[in-house]
Amino acid sequence: MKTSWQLYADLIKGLWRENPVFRQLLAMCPTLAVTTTALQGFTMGIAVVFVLILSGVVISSFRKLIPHQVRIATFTIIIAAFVTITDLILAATFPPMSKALGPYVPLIVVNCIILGRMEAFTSKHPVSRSFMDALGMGLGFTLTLVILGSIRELMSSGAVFGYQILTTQAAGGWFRPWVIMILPPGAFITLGILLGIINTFSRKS
Amino acid sequence: MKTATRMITVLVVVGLFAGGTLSFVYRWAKPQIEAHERELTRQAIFNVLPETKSYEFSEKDGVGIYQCEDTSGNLVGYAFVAEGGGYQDKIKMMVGLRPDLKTLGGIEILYSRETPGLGGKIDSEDILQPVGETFTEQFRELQVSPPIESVKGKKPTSPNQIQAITGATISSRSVVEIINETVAKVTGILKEEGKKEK
Repeated sequence: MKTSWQLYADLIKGLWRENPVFRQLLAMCPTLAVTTTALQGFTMGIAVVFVLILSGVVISSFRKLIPHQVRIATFTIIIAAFVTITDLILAATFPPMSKALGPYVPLIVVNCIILGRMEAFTSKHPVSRSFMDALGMGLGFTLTLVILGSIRELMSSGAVFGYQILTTQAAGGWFRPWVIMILPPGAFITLGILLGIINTFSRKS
Repeated sequence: MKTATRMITVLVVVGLFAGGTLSFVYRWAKPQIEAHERELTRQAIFNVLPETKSYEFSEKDGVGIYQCEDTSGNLVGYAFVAEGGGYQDKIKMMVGLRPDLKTLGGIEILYSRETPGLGGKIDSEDILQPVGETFTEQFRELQVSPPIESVKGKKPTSPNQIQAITGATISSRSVVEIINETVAKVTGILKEEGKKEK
């Protein structure tokens, strides 16, 4: 009973209490760059979940065999291999998405969340807990990217995941799209406001 | 000594295993990626020479040229792939040339890995100011003789000029140079062929 509760805690902490973006402020580069639409944010998040879980399981299984001195080098090779696999799968199956995400998929190699989790958690814990931690962190990251992407997509084109919610002026409605939200400043503004709201709430509690 | 051996063994095994897995995945993915690329190339022909209804591919002196015709069989121009070095990686694009060999139909970027937000704008919907068009839109019906020139931060004054992207002079210049070079090559081939036919 205690172990299953532990696993649940490992999973849930990544979603909120230790959310990689909102609480740890890690992986700012993809967070700001790819969240122009909700779907792009979601795809990026899933790519990170995939890499996190697979490298987590592999590294955790062999953690006792990896010499301490070369652990970072070993982690990097394993992570880089899984990132390249993800990039190839994406290019082979969803070419438009692969083109839209451009260099940000290969850049997952240097994503702080992944190496950070491997060093801080996976290299010290068994496979089951590492898996839950990777899943939680990955889903937390995906959730954040989808929230940011949805807000920016809604403000810049009146749609979320491509479904028109607000009718734009061009289509005869009242909504005037905010061009700035699709540009880099829009990413900073949205993230800043969200962080402000979250910090205000967490300080009260 | 024992640690050193262990370190080397682990890194070699991990490296070999990663390499093996990657080559396996690569062999699976490559034909699919190539099929998508072929489809994109086909689409691009219709974008750079919009009147195109049918085209015929032929390879002349090592350059693949698509000879494009409209519905009534009139020649609307030649499309070909131009490739060269950009700022970070190669830039590959489809170029459409009108039958007079002096005007471009348009261009479309097929592959580029320029800096996102700067050089990446060679292939984006961003409107450049003051010219009021996206980077690639500027190449529609652009004169290529004399060769294309890029100007910085102002509206082009001659029919063979385009406005470079601010902060991405190298990427802009690369695109122009690649087009000039390839157009010169293709024009040479086509003229040579015209002579032979006469």
